[in-house]
Amino acid sequence: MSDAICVDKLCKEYPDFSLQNVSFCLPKGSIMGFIGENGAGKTTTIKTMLGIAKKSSGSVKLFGLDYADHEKEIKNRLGVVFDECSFHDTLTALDVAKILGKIYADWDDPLYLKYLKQFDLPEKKKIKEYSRGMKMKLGIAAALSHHPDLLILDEPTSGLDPVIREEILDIFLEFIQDEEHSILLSSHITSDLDKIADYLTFIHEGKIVLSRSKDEILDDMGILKCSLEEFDALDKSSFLTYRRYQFGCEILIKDKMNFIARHPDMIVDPVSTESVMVFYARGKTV
Amino acid sequence: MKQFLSGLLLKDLLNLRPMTKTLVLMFLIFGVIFIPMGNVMTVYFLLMIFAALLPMTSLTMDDMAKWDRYALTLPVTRKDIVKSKYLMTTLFFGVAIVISGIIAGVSYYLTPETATPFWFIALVGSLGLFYGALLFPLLYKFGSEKARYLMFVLMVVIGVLLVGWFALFGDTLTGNLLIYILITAAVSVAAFIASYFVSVRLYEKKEF
Repeated sequence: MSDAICVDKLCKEYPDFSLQNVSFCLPKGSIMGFIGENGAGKTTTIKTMLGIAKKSSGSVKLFGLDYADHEKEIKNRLGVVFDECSFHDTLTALDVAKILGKIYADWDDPLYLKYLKQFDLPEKKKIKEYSRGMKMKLGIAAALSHHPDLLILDEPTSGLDPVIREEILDIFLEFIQDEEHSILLSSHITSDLDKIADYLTFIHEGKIVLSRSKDEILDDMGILKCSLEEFDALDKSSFLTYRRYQFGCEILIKDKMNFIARHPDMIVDPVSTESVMVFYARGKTV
Repeated sequence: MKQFLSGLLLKDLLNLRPMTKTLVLMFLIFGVIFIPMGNVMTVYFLLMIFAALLPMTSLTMDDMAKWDRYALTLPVTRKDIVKSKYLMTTLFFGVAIVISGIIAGVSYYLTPETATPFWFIALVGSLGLFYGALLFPLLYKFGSEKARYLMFVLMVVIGVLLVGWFALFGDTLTGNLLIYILITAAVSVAAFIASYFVSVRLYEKKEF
């Protein structure tokens, strides 16, 4: 299986923040959730990948092609949606079609109009009169209407109500039915990613802390709750991160089954995407 | 013109629709007041100012909509984006010069004694273009918010240049005037072209 995205040791320096050796690959035909708290580097990674911000070093390949060398070819197969609407307030949804129709080689007007209808977006209303959810859906409709193979979405569901969020997730699931299609979706709304992601990549303070398939993460990892004395006595090689409280500890365990086999008397709870995110963001490493 | 360039241009023209309407209205009002007074020069100036104002506004609007970061995900290069802005400016100046020419023709036909000579349009147009040539790199370097103030400084600079022009060539206006106008126009066009390359370089380095 080839990769839709392959980012290798991507670095980007800012005076107060840096991306350090960001590496991950998104296999074709799947959805990757890109998770991290606000300011962890999700948007910076996406912008640096796409050349909107200049990388300091590292390589980015989309569809197996080097991004810098095949920019136009890649961009014709790519749909991007940012967390805020990128279209000017004075335009209408039909204006957007006129503009993008000239820019994209494979723009499909009937398909775009179909999406507008499906998403209940008025064609002739000015975008400034759209609600936040409508703007987001317009961005998605625009990103889908030139038959892209890859969608890159930066927090498309943040600030939206659960009904619209689910509606948007359904659109993504429909898109991914085609095996050639892939999605990279950044979010800190972990419940959304629980619903649709095949792979999860966690970023914290500009570094990738974990990038694996969601099922592996949920199957393998576990949360051990124990007392401080037990914590001190345990072999820490199977610990990923831990959080110490006044009366006890919570520990993120790398290999749940192996740990339980060695410590049958201890209780290990299953992890959720959210707990893993919080453990990596707030826990201490051993 | 390449297809995607016309797309970027169309985006600007659609965005500037409301402003263009206001400017046309303003122009009509001023035209009705100034042209019968024989003050056609003011109208030329006004047209050139409008022509310079519109591209600048489009950059401000792009900044407000966070358009550029999105535009960079479309199948266009950074160079294309800058090119579309310069094309748009050329287009607006073209329209302004054509309208000025028509007004000059009509006013010459109606009141030949007070009509301003045609060469004046070329001079005003050149200065407008020169203004654009200076303004775009500033906009790309400092962003539309800060460049707004620099715009007024530039206006003064152009004013001084204009006064200087008359001080230098004013005495010889009766002589081989055409040469001086041509030199001014050529310098402005050259500055505009050079400005494009400077802007491309500045925009290549920009991050959004």
